[in-house]
Amino acid sequence: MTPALRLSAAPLVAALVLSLAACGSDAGKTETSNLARGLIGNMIGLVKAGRSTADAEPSAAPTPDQIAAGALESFAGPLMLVTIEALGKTTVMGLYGENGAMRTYALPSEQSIILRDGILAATRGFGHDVMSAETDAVAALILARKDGAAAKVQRYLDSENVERPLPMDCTIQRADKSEYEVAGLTFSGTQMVEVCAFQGQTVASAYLVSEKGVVLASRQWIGPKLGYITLQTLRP
Amino acid sequence: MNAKHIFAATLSVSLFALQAASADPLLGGSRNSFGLLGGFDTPSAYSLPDGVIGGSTFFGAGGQRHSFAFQISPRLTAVFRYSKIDDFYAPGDALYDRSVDLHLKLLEESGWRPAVAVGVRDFIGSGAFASEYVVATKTVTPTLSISAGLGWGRLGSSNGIGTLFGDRPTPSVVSGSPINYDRWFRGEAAPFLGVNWQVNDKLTLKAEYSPDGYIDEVTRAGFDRASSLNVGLDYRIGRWSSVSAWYLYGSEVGIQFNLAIDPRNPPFPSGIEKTPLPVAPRPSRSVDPVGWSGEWAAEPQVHPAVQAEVAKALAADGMLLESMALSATSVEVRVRNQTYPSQAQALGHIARVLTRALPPSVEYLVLTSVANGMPTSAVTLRRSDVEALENSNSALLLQNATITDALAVSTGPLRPTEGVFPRFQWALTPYVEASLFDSDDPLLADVGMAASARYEFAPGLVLAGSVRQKVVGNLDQSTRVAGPDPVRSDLADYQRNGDLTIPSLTLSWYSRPAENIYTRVSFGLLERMFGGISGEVLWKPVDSRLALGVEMNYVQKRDYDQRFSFLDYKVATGHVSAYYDIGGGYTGQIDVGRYLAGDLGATLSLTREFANGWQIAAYATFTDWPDAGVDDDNFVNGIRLTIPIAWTTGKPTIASFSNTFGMSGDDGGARLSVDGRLYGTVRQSHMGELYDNWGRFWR
Repeated sequence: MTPALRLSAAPLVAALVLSLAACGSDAGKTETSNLARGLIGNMIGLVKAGRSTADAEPSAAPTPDQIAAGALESFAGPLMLVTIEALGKTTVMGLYGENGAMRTYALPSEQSIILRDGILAATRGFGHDVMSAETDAVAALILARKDGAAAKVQRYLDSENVERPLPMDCTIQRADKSEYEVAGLTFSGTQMVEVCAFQGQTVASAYLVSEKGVVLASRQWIGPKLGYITLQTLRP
Repeated sequence: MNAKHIFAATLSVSLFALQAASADPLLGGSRNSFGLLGGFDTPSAYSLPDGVIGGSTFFGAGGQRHSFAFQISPRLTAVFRYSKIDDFYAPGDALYDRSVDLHLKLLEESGWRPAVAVGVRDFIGSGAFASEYVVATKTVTPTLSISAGLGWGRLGSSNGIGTLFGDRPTPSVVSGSPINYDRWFRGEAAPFLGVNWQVNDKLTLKAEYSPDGYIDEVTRAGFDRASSLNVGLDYRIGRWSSVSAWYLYGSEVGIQFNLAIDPRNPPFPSGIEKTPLPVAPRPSRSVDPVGWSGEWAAEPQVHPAVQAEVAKALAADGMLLESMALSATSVEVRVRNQTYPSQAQALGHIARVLTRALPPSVEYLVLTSVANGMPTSAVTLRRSDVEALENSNSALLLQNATITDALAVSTGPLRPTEGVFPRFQWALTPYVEASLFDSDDPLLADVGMAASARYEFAPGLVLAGSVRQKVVGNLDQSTRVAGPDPVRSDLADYQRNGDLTIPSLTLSWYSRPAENIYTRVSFGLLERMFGGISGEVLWKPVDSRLALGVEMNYVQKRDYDQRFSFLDYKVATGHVSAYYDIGGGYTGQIDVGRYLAGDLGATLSLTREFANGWQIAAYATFTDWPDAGVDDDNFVNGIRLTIPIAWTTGKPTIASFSNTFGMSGDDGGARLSVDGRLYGTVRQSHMGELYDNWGRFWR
């Protein structure tokens, strides 16, 4: 090989070597290397930009009814249908753990939504999680289907790993009776509307509460980044 | 292995990676060609937001300037720069240089008062850009700001108004110090002016009247300085970067690309790692009377069965259960966290796994963190608290947690987990090694493959090594000449050999002889350039801000082929160190002792650490290494930047990128680079760090 040829081939050889995936059992070493590779891949992707990435859409997404029916068939425990509005994603979540009034539901994506008496207490795995929440005061009114005012706090992690509270002043109002049908099952109850104010903003959540004081369905506000989720009981 | 070596290429890759991360508007506004806010050559009095890291790379009139700016504190900015000045020595013979600036904001803008700042540019060594300034900036309308200042040095090299503080010595006459403070604010001073108009969200127009005469460039390289006026525009691309273009000195053009990253604005503050296992509360006494009685503790098969369950659950969560002690009322688990950058988060996972595996009578959970085989801290929790406070405000559980030295708890005999030791791990990874903007070797790099292996005989006793093979590169074409009795300045001689080198091969023993005391002994090929024996003792109580350490090494210089042969040079080197957690994310360190060349001196370091793992460490070393004239060997400084990978991706990993910027690779003030130094190893699971990160316990 002449020196000139060697020189011109060098970038190609270097690129080839760098494109090799790191392997081994020592994750601390391989991860750094593989991540660096991914970054270079991203940069190349940026350079080649312009292509549409939308063709990954599934051709026929199942309807919520189909998702619910399938889940009821394959999973024996308590189930809920969940829609994360910001992600435009509807899926089911199954009971993963129960501790007193708190229920942890896991999504197939290994994220979880934690409800205390049916009211959002925490989320895990969404990147902008609610770490914890004080919901007892609003829960007392909502479950009893009573009008009133109560305080609520949701906490989020900041980048310094400190839980930052978001205190809210909420008013709760009883609304009409309502029912919903999903996968051939009918759930009926009273609608309770919770309007929470913080820092000059308001967010409105709604709960469908049964005669026994159980939240059957809800649309609840997770936080500024994640927006709202809709939850429907499929199997209590 | 050679931590001091500069890998600017790696950093630029990692900064590009962060593009997806920062969701805020471009931080800090429009920058000058030196990486600080301002016009082209002149600064403004503003600085970047606290903690922000900026990168900018300029190509154009006179050469290239690649600057990394670190906003170390709200007032202080440090800039490290790699630059190329075209035709500096002769036509076609450029100067490749590294330089350091400091910019200090004295007054914040307030009412009628403008912001005021003072700065020294390229103040170490030869000082091709050496200049000083005082500048005031006022925002006139929300979109228009005006800066006016006085410059010295290069910024006083045309249209001067006279000498205010005496003549500027040429060359610098400070003896024994590479910092040219004798020149600061001396010689001719000249005024400068800058105007910055933000037209809309994307576009900023700016103009400056620059006093930089470009004297060397005009005389040596035919730079045509037809005017003192520079005009430019800055156009934002996305929210994290911008492009600037200038028309300069009536004859030249330049273009610059800018990035700004805020460590406090991660893409996913709570991470996107999968949900932890939930707590499983205990059944009532009536449901499980045997479990509650504690009688099961007498059955010999219970402990191994429970331990196997716990080990399996932890392994699935990226942690290693090294050993466990179990009694009717308490458990101690010694766990190595191999996944979570926050130890508090790891503890939260361990506690929840335990609630699911232990018989109900076990009430006290002792979670012992293990680092390099050494048990460091023990966090004792009541299981009832874990059950009652799951997913609640994390501070409530912390109030009821006890954090002690791991040796201060006595929970009974620890049973090693089966099949953990001996433990073998290996990895095969590509590597890049580069030498950039070195005055002798401006652009050299190698790419190759590295194989590493690690064999742990028992907790704390480790044989580890690596082998490298270059595949392609030109580091062997380095023309750099080493110093007379090199300890570090012969780096190029090592880099020339890329065939099957052994960067390190060591046998290390970590242990805990007593409470508060940690020790390390390492033997073998400790680093690329030295082999021998290294011993260290650290005193660090679990709740102490202060730690003290002693390190002694006896090493011999390795031969350039980096296999098993040695050169003649031998040295005893070592330091006494004090570490102090100042609070607010700052840690200070002082090392006093004997360096690799036998020179005596001290290193001062200040680290700014964000709880999410970003670290910016500034260090300076002063030794009695003989002043060799133009060399700056008796003073070494730099900034080390560490970016946690988990921050960029949101996925948990303890891996991070680390980069050093600065004047390094010289013979004076050089330290041995040995793996596994104790302070960094131990600190993560001690009280300060656990408290700082406790918010992640329930994550």
